[in-house]
Amino acid sequence: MRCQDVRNLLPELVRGDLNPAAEAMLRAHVEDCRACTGALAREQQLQASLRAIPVAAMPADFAARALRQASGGGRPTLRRLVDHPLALAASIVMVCGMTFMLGRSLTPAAGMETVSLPLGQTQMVALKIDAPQAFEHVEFEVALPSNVVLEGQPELREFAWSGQLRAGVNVLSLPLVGVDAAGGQLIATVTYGNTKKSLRIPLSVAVGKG
Amino acid sequence: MAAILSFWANARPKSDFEQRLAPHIESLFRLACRLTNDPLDAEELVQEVLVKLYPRRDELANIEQIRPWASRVLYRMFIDKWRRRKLEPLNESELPEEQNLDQVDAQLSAEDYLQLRTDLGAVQSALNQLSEAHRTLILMHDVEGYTLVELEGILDVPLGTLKSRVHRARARLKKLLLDDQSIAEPFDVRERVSVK
Repeated sequence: MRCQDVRNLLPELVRGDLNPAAEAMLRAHVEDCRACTGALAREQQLQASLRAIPVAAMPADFAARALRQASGGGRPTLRRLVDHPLALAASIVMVCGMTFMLGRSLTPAAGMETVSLPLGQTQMVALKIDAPQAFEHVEFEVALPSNVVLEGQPELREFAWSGQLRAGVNVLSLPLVGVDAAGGQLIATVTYGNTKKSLRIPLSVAVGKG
Repeated sequence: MAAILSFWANARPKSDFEQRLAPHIESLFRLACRLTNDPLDAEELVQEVLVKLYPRRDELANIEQIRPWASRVLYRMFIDKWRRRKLEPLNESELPEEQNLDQVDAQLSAEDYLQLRTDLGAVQSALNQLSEAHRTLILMHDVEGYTLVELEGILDVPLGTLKSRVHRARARLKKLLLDDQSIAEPFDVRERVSVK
């Protein structure tokens, strides 16, 4: 193989775009050829510089905002859960949640106690979100584990909405039905601008209590 | 007294559209940034792409390679609509430049290779001096990592032609990294003056 032919293929060699036979042939040549070894090093530096060309960082809330805006309207909405008959009942499991402050990143999952739900029955689980100030245009997301469903909407595993946090304690309540004895984690995420907090709530379903 | 979060009335399930596209938004944003060279324009372009894709969500459900599929829509929108609106129409003079490359000795000698400047500043500067067609190709293939097979679909150019163009674009880039004095000798002005 001629040195010039090898040099013509150095970009593909660095990118890993060659088939194994061609790559082996090139590498064998480069090992024995001092000039091509130097050229390969240069090509690697050039490709590394190309990959390092900076680009603006995407704003943290852009993806959710853009997707929501693109797909807004005409889709099913969840009913107003605060109207649920259990919302005012005494049997709410209150989960001490997060304090939402600007500039803090993800909340560690440690320390959250497991919430036990009865199998096949609706249990209102309420999450407290303490906000030292009011926040407008907050994005909320909830992802359910496989062992529970949202009452009346078993197909719904993830849902999201926009809203506001009021100053003080805000309560997010979910009517959950345990469907499987397996353990799992409910993930609630609150995003405001570049500040994002997630809370992972371990959920277990008590078989036989229902 | 605790405030009950009453905005649940507006809650809605994350659609399949959102779930399937979400992992690729950042990649689309990066591509849009590379093309528009402006993060705010990039946001606007990606937003327009998503609005255009939403009515095609049934089609999206059957797409395996979402990134190149959505990138193709973004690129077409950039060329057909965005670029025309924001910039001058595509300059036909770029085509002769590409043809001229046939006459340029695109092959680097071993000595040339060792003379190449490869630092980030020089590479960026050389890239900016390429024709838009070549710059776009390098940005998409070498910088953003789209494969030639993906680019064949995104740019709507046959694979063989694409290979030749990439080869030429790289050759042009290297020639700039070798030849352009402003790139090759940015700190040596005094010495160059004295030599003259």
